[in-house]
This record gives sequence, C-alpha cells and structure tokens, in this order.
Amino acid sequence: MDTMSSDQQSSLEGESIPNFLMLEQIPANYVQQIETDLLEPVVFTQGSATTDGFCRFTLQNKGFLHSHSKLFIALEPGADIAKGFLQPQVGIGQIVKKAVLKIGNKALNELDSWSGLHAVKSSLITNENNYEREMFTTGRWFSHEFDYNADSRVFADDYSLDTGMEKIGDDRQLPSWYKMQSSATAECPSFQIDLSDLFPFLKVNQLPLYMIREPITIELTFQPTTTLRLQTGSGDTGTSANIVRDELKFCADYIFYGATDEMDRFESANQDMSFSFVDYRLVENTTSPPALTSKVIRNLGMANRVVPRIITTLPDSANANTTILGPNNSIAPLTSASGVQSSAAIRYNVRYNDRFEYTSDVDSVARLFSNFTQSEGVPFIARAEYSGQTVDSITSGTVEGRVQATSLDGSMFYLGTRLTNGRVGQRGIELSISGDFPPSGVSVIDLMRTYCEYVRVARLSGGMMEVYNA
Amino acid sequence: MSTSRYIEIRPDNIPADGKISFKNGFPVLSFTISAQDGLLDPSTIRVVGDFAAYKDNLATPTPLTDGDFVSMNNRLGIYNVIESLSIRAGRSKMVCESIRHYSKFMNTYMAMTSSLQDQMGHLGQTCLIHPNATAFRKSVVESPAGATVPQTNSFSFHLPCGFVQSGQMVNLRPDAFGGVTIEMLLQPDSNVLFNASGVTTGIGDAHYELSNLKLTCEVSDIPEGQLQSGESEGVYQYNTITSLYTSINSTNAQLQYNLGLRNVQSAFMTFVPVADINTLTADGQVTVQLSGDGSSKDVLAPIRRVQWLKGGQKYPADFDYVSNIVDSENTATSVVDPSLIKNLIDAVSPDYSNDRISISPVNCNRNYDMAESYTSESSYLSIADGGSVYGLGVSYGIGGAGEDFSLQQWGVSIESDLKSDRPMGVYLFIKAKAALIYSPQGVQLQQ
Repeated sequence: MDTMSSDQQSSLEGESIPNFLMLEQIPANYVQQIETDLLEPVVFTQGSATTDGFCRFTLQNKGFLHSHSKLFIALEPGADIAKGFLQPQVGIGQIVKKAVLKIGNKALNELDSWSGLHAVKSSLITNENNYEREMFTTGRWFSHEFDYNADSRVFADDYSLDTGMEKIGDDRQLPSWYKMQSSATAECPSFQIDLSDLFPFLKVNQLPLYMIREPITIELTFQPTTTLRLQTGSGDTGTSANIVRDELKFCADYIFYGATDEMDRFESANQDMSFSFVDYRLVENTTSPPALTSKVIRNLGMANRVVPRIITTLPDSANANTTILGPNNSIAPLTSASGVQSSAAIRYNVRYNDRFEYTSDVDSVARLFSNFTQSEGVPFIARAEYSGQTVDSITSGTVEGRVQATSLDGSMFYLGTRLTNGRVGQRGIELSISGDFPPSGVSVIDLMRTYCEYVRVARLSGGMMEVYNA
Repeated sequence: MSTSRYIEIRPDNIPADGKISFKNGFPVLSFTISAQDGLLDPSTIRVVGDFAAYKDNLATPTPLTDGDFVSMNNRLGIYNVIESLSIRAGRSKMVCESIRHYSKFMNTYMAMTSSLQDQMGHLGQTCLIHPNATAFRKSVVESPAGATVPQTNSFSFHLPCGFVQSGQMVNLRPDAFGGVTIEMLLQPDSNVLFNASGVTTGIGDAHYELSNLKLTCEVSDIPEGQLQSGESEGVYQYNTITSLYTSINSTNAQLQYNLGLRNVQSAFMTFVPVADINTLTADGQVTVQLSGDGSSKDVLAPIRRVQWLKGGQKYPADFDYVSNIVDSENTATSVVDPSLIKNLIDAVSPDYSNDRISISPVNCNRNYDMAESYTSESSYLSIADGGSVYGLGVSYGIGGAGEDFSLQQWGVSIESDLKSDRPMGVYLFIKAKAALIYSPQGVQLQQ
C-alpha cells in the first residue's frame, strides 16, 4: 500500500511535485490556476426566535479547495434597530453556532459553540489588523486607543475601544456604513468568514477535492434570530436580525496545480493516502461562582486521544444584544473596588496520565496569560480586559450607547494549556479550577466551556474518505 | 511522542515573608534551574510575581495613592526594577551573558520591537506596561484614595537577551551544559519611583516590593534511549549586549573604547541627565535628548553632528551625519533628524524585522523640556505613547556579518548644543555575536 502521511514528503518528490495537501510544502512560485465559483446554499432555513437557522453548501469535486475561500453573509435587522453592530472580538462570526465539514456522511471537522472558539482565536489577530482590515472584511474591530482627558493631547486616565471615529461627548459611534439599521436594510454591509477560520485545520492542510468521489458539504447552524445575531445600541428596542438569503454565498476557490498533468500523476501515485489534522471537541457544562469558589473538577474525557492543547472559557452566556461582547465572553476573577484580587482569586490546573501539568495550581492571572500565549499565541487583549486587575482603566464612556467599562472589564479571561505528557490515558483529562468570581453584576458565570484540540487522521483511498482518531 | 514538563522555581534568596524589596535589604533576585535530564527551552522562561509600591516604610506600609503623583517609567513597567541581568552556568558559575543597565536597554528595545497596541495590550498584562503617563500611574503605581492594601499587579515577564532568544534548547544534563542560574540585580527605589512634580515631601521612604515570586519554564524530556548517547558538548550562538556607561558635558564629546569584541553587530547609546539618575525627583530611566543649551538646563541641546569611528577613522560611514537642525531654515524645528533615528532603529532591531515598533513623531521629537511636572504637557514626563525615545545608533556589516573591534578602538564623536554645566549620562550598548562552548569539562564564552 502506498500510504503518504502528512509528515512525509510526496512520493513524487523525485519528480519535483510537492505534497499538495500541505500548504507549507508548496513553493510560492509553483504554477497554479484558480477557478472561483460563487455557490448558493442548497438548503437554507432562516430560523426563528426559538429555533436555529441552517444552511448547507455543496462543493464541486474539482481541483484543490483553497483554504481561504470565503463565506459571504449579510444581516438585515428587524424593526426598531438604529445602531446594530457586530461584536468587536468576533465580527460576523457571532451568528454561527456550529460548523460541520462533511465528506459523504462522515464529519471531517465538527465544531460546536463555534463563535466561542472563534472569539478566542480572533484574539490572536493584532489590533492594528482588526482596525485596518478586519473591520471591513469580517466585521471584527477590536482595537484600542487612549481616551485623552478633556483639553489634553497627552494625558489619558483610561483607554477605549477604537472605532475609527471621534467621540461625541462620551460616546464613540461606529462608522455609518458599518451600522445596520432597520430603516436602511438595503444598505447593510456584507461580511465574510474565512474557510480556515470555520475549520482551523485548513490553515495547514488543503483538500484534494478532485480526488474525492463523495459529496463534500459545509453545514452551518446559525443562532436564533433574536438577541444573538446582532448587538444593538442604546435606545434600540428591536432584537432580531435575519440573514439576507440573497447575500448568503460561498465563494469557493479551486486551485489547479502545474502546467501539465502533475495533478493526475499526484493522484495516481497517491491512490491510498492519509493525513493528520486537528479537530475540536467541546466539553460544556453549567457552573456558577459559588461552585467555582468550592472548586470544580471536570473530567473532559478524550481518553486514548492525542490532545495537543485545551482552551477553557468561563462565559456568562446570558449576555446578549445589549452588551458589547455578547455571550462570547469569559469572566475574570473578582477584583474589589480598590483593585485588589484575593489570594484565592484563581487556582487552575490540568491533570492527565497521573500527572498535573503544573507543579502547583496556577494562582497568578499573569501566568495564566503567559500559559495561554505559549499554547495558542499572543492574545492582543489589554490587562483590564483579561484579568480585570486595575481600577477604572477602561473608559466609562460608551460605544453606540453601551458602556465599555461594564462590558469589557475582566471579560476576556481565556485559559489555555499546551499538554505536554503525550497521548491521553484511560482516565482522560481532568480540569481543576477554583476562584473568587463576581457573584453578581453585569456578567455572572453560568457556563464552563473547554475546547479540546485533538488529532485525527483522514485516509483517502480510491476516492473514499475515512476518518478516525490518531 | 516527545514529552515535556512545566516547572516552577522559587528564588534562591527569598526571605521568610516571601517579599523582595531593595529598601529592606534584598537587592538581588536569583533563580537556579538545576541540572537534570532534560532540554530547557529558554524562550519559555518567565518571572512571575506581584508588584506593589508604597509611600513609606512603616511596619504596615501605606500604598501610594492618587495625589502622591509618584510614578515609574511607563514604557518599562516591571522592567523598571531590573538593574542588571546575569545568566551563569550552574556548574562553574561561569557568566554566559551579563547585561548591565538592563532597564535602560529595555527602554529602547521595547520602543523598537513592540507597537503601541502591544504595549497597551498583552505587555500590560505580562509586564505591567501601559504607554501613557497618567494611565500607567493610575493602573499600576497608585491605589485608589484611602486604600490600605495596594492594588494587585500580577506580572509574568520574559527576559529578552541573547541566551534566552537564541532559539536553541539548553541541554541541562549534568555532563553537558548543566544547570542555569539567572540573577537579577534590582534597582534602588529612587531609580524606579519618582515624583512627577519633582518634590519628595512625604515620599522619602517610597519603595517597591515584589512578592509571590517564581520562575517558570518548560523542560523537554530527553527520550530514554538518548540519555546515554545524547550529545554532551556543543555550541550555543547568540547576540549578546555589552553595556558601558560614561558621561559627557561639552559641545564636542569624544567617546573611545577598546571593546575587545570580534563580531560587533551594532552599537547604540541613550542619554539622560546625570542629575536625574537615582533620585525620587526625576525619572532616571528615560531616554531623552541632550539638554542644557546654555540658556537653561531644562532646554534641549540638540545634537548637530555625529561621526562614527573605528581606529580613529570614520567608519562605517565615511562622512559626518549632520543633523537637520544645522540647516538655517530648520534651526527651530521640533522634528528630529530622520537619518539618525533610522540608524538607531536599525542598530536595535534590523530593518527586516521592523514590523512591530512604537517610535513615532509623537514620542521622538524636540517638542519638550526637562522640567518635572504632572500638569505641564511640555514636560518630558508627559510625552504620550510611552514617553520619549531617543538615542544614536550604528550597525555594522551586511546580513549579520559584523565588524571586528578586537584590535582597533570603537569611537563616536558628538557635536551638540550642550553648553550648560550639565553632565549627561551616556548608556552605551554594544550588540555582538557570542559563542558559548560547553562540554563535560565546563563552559567557555567566546566573543
């Protein structure tokens, strides 16, 4: 059997044909042609106030699927919304509840609570890029600026989100083209979601669609139409937003490599091939500040799997359209009015294979930030937003009438750990967390979500895909 | 599948209450990563702890609060407290790298390698940096009025230096490199804290305190089969910093040093009035222009001409860098000379890696004075975007080729308007390639 793993060079290396499945192995100057299809959904359900929306796209089996193909989405606010905007840290991704990539009837990638994971991954984008690029493409606008004191060009007591607009009084507005208004639905902007954001393994791999003999589909489940699809400004009484059916399209880029028959030769030389990729498994359960004070030890499962890292968030999922971050938040330990966190503010550890990852429970929010950095990359989140330490660092001013301090302060407390002890054993992974979290206020933790990244293997044999855990 | 471990280490010299304070007799912070069968990834080293600042030294000290107007350099954050960084081989105590005036080095390094959004964002959480004088003072140094316990400031800072950033794993086996000792000499309180209006009433015993300290890092396990056959000798190569200090007090300053370094990549220098060093009345960590033009000590004294020298001859540029202020139409400009600043940037961080940077006309200009004030917008303490950035720099060779200064003197000639009797401290940093050779017999550093 001629099997090629993702870690190996192509069996055609001697003929100078790279492994087309691994993006980093393809020379930048390799001959390629790109064909673009604008696909309509084959199934579309708008959803309602109580039921989810849904759509399905079916791809054509040709070429290689470009990992940066885009999904186009536009929202149309319902009645009584004059200041509709998207969550700055998630953008248009806030409407996506679940994303599934299927080949035949097998799910290659399946992500629940996708927007929660997307919020964490989006924090790795620099604020400069959010401000200059993402605001126009994906609707993400998470960036900071100092909120200079009145009549001063140098002194600033606090900082603010940067909308790109001068503040009026204490309110920062978003650009008029960005806002979604029920009085001008025809002028609502379209945004995009990158395919590799929907399915993170595509940042490294790409799919040889022309070698697959089964239908390839992308299925997206959308949030219900009210409160979760759009943030609304002060004074707005409406809460609903519909997806504009005519604007919902998948822009599929198909790549064809080589000037002659390289792709045919690649296929014939790799009739039986396999590659590894990562998927995310969500472990979600309800919790509360008192429970966390007592200590929560949660078994995340994942026995016998290769799990490179885990991400944990502690959201208040009840935060909806009247806050800036919506339900895609993660609440930090309690900080008193005088800026003090108790010595028991946080205790975090992960145990698997009869070993704790950290010698003693991690009790420093700054160290948790560093651990997240070493696991995922540098998050571009300010200190007050991550740990809630400091007093009044975030302006008391507003964005479209929504108070920034109450929405942002200690609301992006992402926890991440890169696991170091090999394949997970029979007892699975145990997450241990305790601390003093805000028992009341704008945001009170009601969920604990852990996204476990685990390695899977896809085997493509005779055009049929088979997927199993590594 | 390779495995690794996160380890955490307590300081070697910690007092009973776990609090380290220069004021109370603990000027050194040191950690030892012991020899073991593992490979240390030095880029994962973090120093974790809590920072607090107090206005007195009573049995229960009083936190600095709003109205005390005491602050620290806002671009440095927690790096304010480190005077020097030394890394030693644990077995022989041989110095692998030593950077004196580390905080001064970091002030320029941070400006050249991190953007304003970096400093407002992740560097705030890890290094307590917040690039605005007022916002920093309120969010890090001061506690709310009436507070009896200082606000919590957790940090987890990395240690930028050649050894840590070499990209190579350190073999901790006892018969290879062995253990590593990281030693930080702390700054005196008066070189960290300062009153933003230049007075010391009521803050004579102001001091900072570090607590809950530990060093964390990741050590990869050496696969069992390779424990015996693994390499016990090798070479680590990295860029290291050699630091020198001097002072100048004339319109024409000549600096000459026998560096004894064979592969010098670049050199850069920063300035601060000597009178501002180690005093509670001024920020001794800033990197400002020369000041004292003959009319007032607080008025800037611009640099007019610079010559870089090797063996007494102009090198690498065979010409003088003449500042823009020399041109008759520019004599009153507040814009700094762009070619001198470009050279400074290149000397700290090569051109190809300049994708995160925070030097700008906002914080690099001649539009300020050296008077201390927390209300004056023209004071050097008020400069936005992290405070003043200034210095001179020169880079050598192309593509990291470097320059041999082992036989000839390195020098610089600076012509300026420094006419007042105002000695200016010059912190000189030389970036040079170093090779650290280790074997069962010991460790040897070649520069």
